[in-house]
Amino acid sequence: MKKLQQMLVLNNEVLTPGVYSMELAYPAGQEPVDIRPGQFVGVYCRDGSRLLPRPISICSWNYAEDEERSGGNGGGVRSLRLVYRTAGAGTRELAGLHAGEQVRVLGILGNGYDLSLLEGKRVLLMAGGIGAPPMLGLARECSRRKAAVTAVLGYRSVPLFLKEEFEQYGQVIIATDDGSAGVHGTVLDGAAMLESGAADAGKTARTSVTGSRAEEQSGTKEYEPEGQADAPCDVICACGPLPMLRSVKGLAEKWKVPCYISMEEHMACGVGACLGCVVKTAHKDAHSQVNNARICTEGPVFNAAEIVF
Amino acid sequence: MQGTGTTGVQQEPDLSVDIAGVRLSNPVLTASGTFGSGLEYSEFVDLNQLGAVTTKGVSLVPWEGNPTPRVTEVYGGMLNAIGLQNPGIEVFVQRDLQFLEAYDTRVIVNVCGHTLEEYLGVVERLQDEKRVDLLEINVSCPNVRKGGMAFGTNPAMLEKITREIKAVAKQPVIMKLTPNVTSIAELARAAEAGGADGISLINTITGMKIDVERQQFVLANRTGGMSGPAIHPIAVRMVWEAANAVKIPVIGMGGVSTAEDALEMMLAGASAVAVGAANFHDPETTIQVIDGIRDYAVRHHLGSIREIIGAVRDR
Repeated sequence: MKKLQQMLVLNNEVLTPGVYSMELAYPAGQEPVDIRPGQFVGVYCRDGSRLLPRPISICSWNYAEDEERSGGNGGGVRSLRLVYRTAGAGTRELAGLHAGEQVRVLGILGNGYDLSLLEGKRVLLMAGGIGAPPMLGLARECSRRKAAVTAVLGYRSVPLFLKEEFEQYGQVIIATDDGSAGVHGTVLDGAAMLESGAADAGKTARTSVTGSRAEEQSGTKEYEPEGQADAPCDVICACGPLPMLRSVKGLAEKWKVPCYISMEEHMACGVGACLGCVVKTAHKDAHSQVNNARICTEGPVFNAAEIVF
Repeated sequence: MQGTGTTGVQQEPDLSVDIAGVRLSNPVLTASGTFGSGLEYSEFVDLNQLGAVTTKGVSLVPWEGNPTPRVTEVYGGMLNAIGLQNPGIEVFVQRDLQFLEAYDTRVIVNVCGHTLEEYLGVVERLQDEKRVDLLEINVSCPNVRKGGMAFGTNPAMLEKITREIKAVAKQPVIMKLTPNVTSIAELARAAEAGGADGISLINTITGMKIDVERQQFVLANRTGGMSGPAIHPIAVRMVWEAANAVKIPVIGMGGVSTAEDALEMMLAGASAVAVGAANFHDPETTIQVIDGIRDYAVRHHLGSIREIIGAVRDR
């Protein structure tokens, strides 16, 4: 569902220097029925010299009634939470919005994560920098679906953002480029902790899910590889800079687990018309008839095996 | 300008215009490459309300396009170097033209090629496609190494390719011109001499953006075509120059984002006007432009919007 609407800013606050959290409410009657983690919106600037919508991933969302959905019968989405970093004049304009102001928003856009592939699994979430926000919503939805969530969050340095919120949903491993918190290194170094130190915990968890996993295996999609015997997770989901995603794909290949990654690229229209934000794919894409998929439309979430880095 | 102070009670103004014998319900079109084939924007815009949908450039076989980054924003506009990625004429006919069957609007198919033979192949394939009302020949794309703008900057070459395409085409042929030339009037005359039924302009203006922190080109292609509101005055000037150089109809485009922008183009001599990059800023721009043109026609007591085409005067 692609819609264009004016949304009300409920709050817009600094999390850490340069990183903001903004909650936007839908006008009555225009609430989307549901959202999948990994989807995004395009936020327009008021200043007409800034032509293009800013693609910002949805961090989390609230349903119309402040209660858990009952059997998928949500009353619709009431508000969105966007967590974004100020990177230029456009995002600085967004950072200056106050509660009570209106902002024009395009979307919900993109495909999002397929939660049916994550339900009941040991899910490893890997996020680098401002790739963390969409992983938070994913952590919540995984946890609601009885998945065992481990999140490896990479930052440049302290202060960290969203860490405590991730801790609500599972184990959190921190990695920082400068060693100011957690593991000194990248999310790959953080994930290495799971292979060595935390291996015992991983094995315990694995035993408990082996039964259901074996049953599911018969009906799973063909591209899902059989996990390596001592792999510390059943599936990886990742969002972050391109070099990180490339490494994460390598890790998933080593562990022989499926891997879903959220891609980003310079974007213009956001709705699949301009072909600005494509990514090289292993197979010919049905829309383009060439090995280019549109990140805004076929993505931003892709099976890593399908992406040619 | 005529039309102000005409007599009688104001009727609903006639917004229809004529391009090479094809009647459009109103003068507002989409610019090629900014609207796909209409599908992606059909969730925002009732395509039936548009004068025409101009489809994304299509070639004989699928084209990969350029590496990314392909787009970037600049002040008052954007640069793109998509490189005419498209699924090829067969898929286009089967899927995109089929999709447009359901709509009551005119269809202008933008045609691209690396060689004259490729252009002719596409034009020939479209000969019997009834859904196609007009052909727009892209001899002005700045982002492909072969074909594109290379055909559109040399008057003799432009005249030749126009003549060859006209010999094969069954629909009227609009040649889309590039602004990256010294004299747009000369190119406009070359297209007319080759038998073009109309011309459209401007395509994007070649530009460049550099990331100063990384000391790198922002676009993988280094250069890209600039579009958006910032180029509008340049486009108005070129539409005026071209319209004064030829007798065939002109379709104006370049930075149109409001009805006022579109009306400027028409006063400068455009028979119809296309909305391009503004669709990215607001998917409902085309409808707002149509509404604004209607309001203008009422306010200026125009029986027909055609009265203002080329009506600009000196002060």
